[in-house]
Amino acid sequence: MTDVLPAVPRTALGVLYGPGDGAASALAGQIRAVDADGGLGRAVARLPGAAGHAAAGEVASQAAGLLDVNLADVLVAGWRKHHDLRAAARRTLAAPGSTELVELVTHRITETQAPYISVLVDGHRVATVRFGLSLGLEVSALLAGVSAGKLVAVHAGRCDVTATLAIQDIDVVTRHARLELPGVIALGRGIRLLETCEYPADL
Amino acid sequence: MRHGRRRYALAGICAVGCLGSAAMSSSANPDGVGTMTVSPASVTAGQVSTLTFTYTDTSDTELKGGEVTLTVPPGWTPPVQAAGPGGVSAGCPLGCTVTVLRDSPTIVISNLSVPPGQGFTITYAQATAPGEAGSSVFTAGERSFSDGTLTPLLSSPIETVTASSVGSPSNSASASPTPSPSASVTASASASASASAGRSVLVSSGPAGSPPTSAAGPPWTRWQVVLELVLLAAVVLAIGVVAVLRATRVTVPSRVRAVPHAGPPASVTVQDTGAEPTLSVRIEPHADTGRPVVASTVVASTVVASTVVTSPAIEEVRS
Repeated sequence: MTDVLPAVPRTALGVLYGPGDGAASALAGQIRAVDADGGLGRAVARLPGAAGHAAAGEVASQAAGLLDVNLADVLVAGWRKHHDLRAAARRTLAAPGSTELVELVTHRITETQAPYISVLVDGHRVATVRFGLSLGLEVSALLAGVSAGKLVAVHAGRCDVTATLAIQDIDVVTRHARLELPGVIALGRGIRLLETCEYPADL
Repeated sequence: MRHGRRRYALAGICAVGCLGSAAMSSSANPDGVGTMTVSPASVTAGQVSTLTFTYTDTSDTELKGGEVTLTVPPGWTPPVQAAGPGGVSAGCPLGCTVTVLRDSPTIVISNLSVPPGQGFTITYAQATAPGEAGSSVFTAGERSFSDGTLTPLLSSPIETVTASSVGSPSNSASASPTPSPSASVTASASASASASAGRSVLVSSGPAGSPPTSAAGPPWTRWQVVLELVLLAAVVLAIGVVAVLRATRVTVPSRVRAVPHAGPPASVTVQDTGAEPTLSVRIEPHADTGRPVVASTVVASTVVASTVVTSPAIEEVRS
């Protein structure tokens, strides 16, 4: 018998609504619920029936795109600010050919975004739907490889993700997920941890 | 009159074609809701009778300032706003306005206020049925609010005209003569007195200038039949065109756009939450000199554990 492992979410949208194509429809329902008497609801109600449905669906579809935030990008953005990793990056940059294995202190990376969607009818804005995406990533047991100022390996580590979505300043959903970090981040030839100006031209 | 006749005429023409799209838009669009029935449901060809149309608001919202329209199909006595043949009347608890369009057999009930589940009736008096058997569709439309869109009901009332037992339908009609200007139109509302005013129902009759009915006018001729068929074909064509236009707009709502904005730059913060400090081990490869190498670089302000190894050198750093 083969065990089927649950799909690991790689994006904020995946954490919030799970895998599959149901995110947009779920978002549409939540937008309607939050904005039942708001500008979007009134604007949609004035449109011909099917056009109103199409507009609501388009808003949900665009919202899904805005929330499709790659968790690996958030992790890297946080690590670029972590003093210990930056210090390791500078040391390895100063000692060409050296590599550091960094067992990083447990840390929390938070990111907040506030995208919004304008609904235009005949070029006139009739409604604005505001979103608030809050991501909290608790990273523990991270063992990273750093060389030449770059993150070159993630040997171990896990990340507990908490994602919260607000629509029109009202929290509508909060979900948690756990990621095993090895394999989550595409490292390629290494990810720079410092500012571009700190690297020699040939790196 | 506040509303243009052209819109009512269009509403009458596109009534059937719009049914499909109206069904799709039931949840988002509050217009086109409710049911309308007619009593009696059947008359004989050429019979003079009084038809009572009953509108019921089946939605969970109240009609406020809307309209209901009813269109009398060709062959029937044209509705008039006076007592007599074709007279129309309506009674509304909190008042409403009954109008018959001059160039279209359309009855307009405006400024209606009907709470959910309530309704009202429209009386179409001394109406002469067509001289031939068939089904007559009284197209009904509704909009719930004054700024709504007049939308056909999902099901308009149908009056069945059965064949007369005396003579041929084309010659034996016994309808009343051409309606006099004094004919009346009345409608009575069944809504409770507590209902608020404002919603209206529009009822329109057939196209303007419809030929006189067999009952009220001269006997049918072959040319009249041909004219009726031509008119019918034109209406069917118009319905098709309107349906296609609406379907196109439904699938490509080009005038509605949702534009995403990323918003202000995302804020990213990182904060240590663990008790164990970072442990860093550096590996420095060196060319083999045959001698031990001491890696002694202090790389952090805290503890540095130096080790003596042969190449490559390994250094442990606690920060």
